[in-house]
Amino acid sequence: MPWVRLALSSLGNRRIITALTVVSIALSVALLLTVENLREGARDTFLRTISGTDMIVGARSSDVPMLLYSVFHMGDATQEISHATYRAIAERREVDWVVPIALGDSHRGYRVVGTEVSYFERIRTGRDVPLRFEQGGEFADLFDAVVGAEVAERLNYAPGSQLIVSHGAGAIDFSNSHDALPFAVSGVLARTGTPIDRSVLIPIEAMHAIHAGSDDAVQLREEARAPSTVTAVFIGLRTRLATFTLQRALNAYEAEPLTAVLPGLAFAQLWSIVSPIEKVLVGISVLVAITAFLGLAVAILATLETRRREMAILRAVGAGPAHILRLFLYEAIFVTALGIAFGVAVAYTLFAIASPILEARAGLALVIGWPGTRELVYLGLIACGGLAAGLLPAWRAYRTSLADGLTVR
Amino acid sequence: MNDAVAISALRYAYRGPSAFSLEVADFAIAAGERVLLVGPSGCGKSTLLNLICGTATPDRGRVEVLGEDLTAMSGSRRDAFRARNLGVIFQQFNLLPYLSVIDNVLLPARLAGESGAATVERAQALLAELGLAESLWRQKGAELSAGQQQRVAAARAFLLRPGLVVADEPTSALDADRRDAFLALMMAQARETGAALLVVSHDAALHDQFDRTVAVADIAAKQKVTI
Repeated sequence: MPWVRLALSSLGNRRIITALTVVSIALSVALLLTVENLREGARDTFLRTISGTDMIVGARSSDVPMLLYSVFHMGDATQEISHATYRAIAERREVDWVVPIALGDSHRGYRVVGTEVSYFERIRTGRDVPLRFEQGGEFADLFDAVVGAEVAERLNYAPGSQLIVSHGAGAIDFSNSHDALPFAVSGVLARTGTPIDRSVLIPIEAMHAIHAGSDDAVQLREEARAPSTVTAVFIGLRTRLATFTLQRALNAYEAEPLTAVLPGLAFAQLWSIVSPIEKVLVGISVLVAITAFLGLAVAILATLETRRREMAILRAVGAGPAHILRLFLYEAIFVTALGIAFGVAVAYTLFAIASPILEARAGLALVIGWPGTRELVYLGLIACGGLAAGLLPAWRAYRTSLADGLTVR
Repeated sequence: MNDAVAISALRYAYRGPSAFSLEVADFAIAAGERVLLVGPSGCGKSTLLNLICGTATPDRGRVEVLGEDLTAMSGSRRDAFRARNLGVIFQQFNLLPYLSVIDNVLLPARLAGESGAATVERAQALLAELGLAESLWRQKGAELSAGQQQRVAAARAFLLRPGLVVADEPTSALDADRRDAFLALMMAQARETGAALLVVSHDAALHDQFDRTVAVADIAAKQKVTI
């Protein structure tokens, strides 16, 4: 059909304005796809801050604060769990493994987490990715420490570095440093993009030992014993089927008040607090897309007056007003299609370049695959937007060519 | 043989910012006749052209072109009829600036669905006959001189051997020498294809080249409509 060719030639005749319009649509498409992908990536990464753990148990509290202190190391637990209860939980038949943590100390602003060696095997992040040592290895001695990637980078620690643990969570602590009891770094963890990067892990026995009162390391080594309390327990179950039975049992535990949290549910709850931000981001990119289409409509409308002669020529050789309408619509459709194609190309190039960087720096895992349903819906809406933006000038052209006929009034 | 144009008892009202009405009691152009239509600007020439070409429809009366009653046709039928049976030449800027010369000439053929090899050959022959060198055929319409553009427009108008060619001030953008040469070319083509020729001009000096000269005022009454 000559109209497709005519539309293309006509657009080619206005290369600069066409190119600019294509670029503005491409940018809005790229922005929308990037925001969408980052949003999904952020949500995914957040929900997978911890994986492989079926349940987290702490002293009676509510879900979100518990998640905040146990996983994000933000804030403090108001109560601890006794060691007896911890043992009782560990021995339940539904339970496959337990990893205790004890909180309360810090090192130069980074939280110190007392735990057991099994932590490095059981605690997973992302899509069930186990912790990996960048340098060194797990604790070999009571006064060994494993540091997260960010701690190592900021404080320039490597295996063998010495560090002092101070009481409380403040960045600077003048009074309560356990400075006679330095820990030696035994290992540095690879970056995970989770709060583990900002943690200093020490053996849970050492944590209790340094609080025992003595400053004499030799004596402490002898006295190091099973801790009397733990802050929270990470639990892996033998079978998921036991989840709710165990949760009910622990929530109704008689010896002391406990709260058992299912991380998946608690994370979803926590995310719903953050999610308005993602809506704002999507809203902004939709506005950008609308602006791009107004630009498209303006770009075509602005040429209408100068193209009245072109329309009269077309009418003279036998084109009807409907043909003119179609010509203008085709132009809008081509510009939109080109914009979408470029936008998708730009977005995916960007993902390919940024993905490894984001993964390493922020632990943010982008999903680079074919556009998902949401992306396709967005692209479909953008295509409709282009058509709608093209309709107004096309309709004006139709009216004009109908009124003008062969003579430009 | 049918008249090229036969208008009877026509009344047309333009409802625009400067509303007017135009009445034509009776006007005909015989087949193959060459008519010069003269009149000052604003006398209703353009409206008359639109009515004959089917891009405007009268409120009353009949407009027959080549024996077909345009007023009985739908808009799209009239458009198709125009593509196939009418040639139109404007005063200037006849070409789509972004199409090549040959594509400009072939426009009506493409719209009439007759752009086969025979038509392309005829287009090339016409361009050659009208003195347009082959080297110009692939150039864009906008790159040609005004005189060349008019000749391309003539090639386009006569391409499908139409029964009627309508030209609106086709020579006013040309100097005297080129004007005469162009008129001669048009006449020759009209003779060869048997097309009737209706040329509108405010320049009555051209009259000796036509079979008949008609003053718009003699056939049409234009009145301002005051609301």
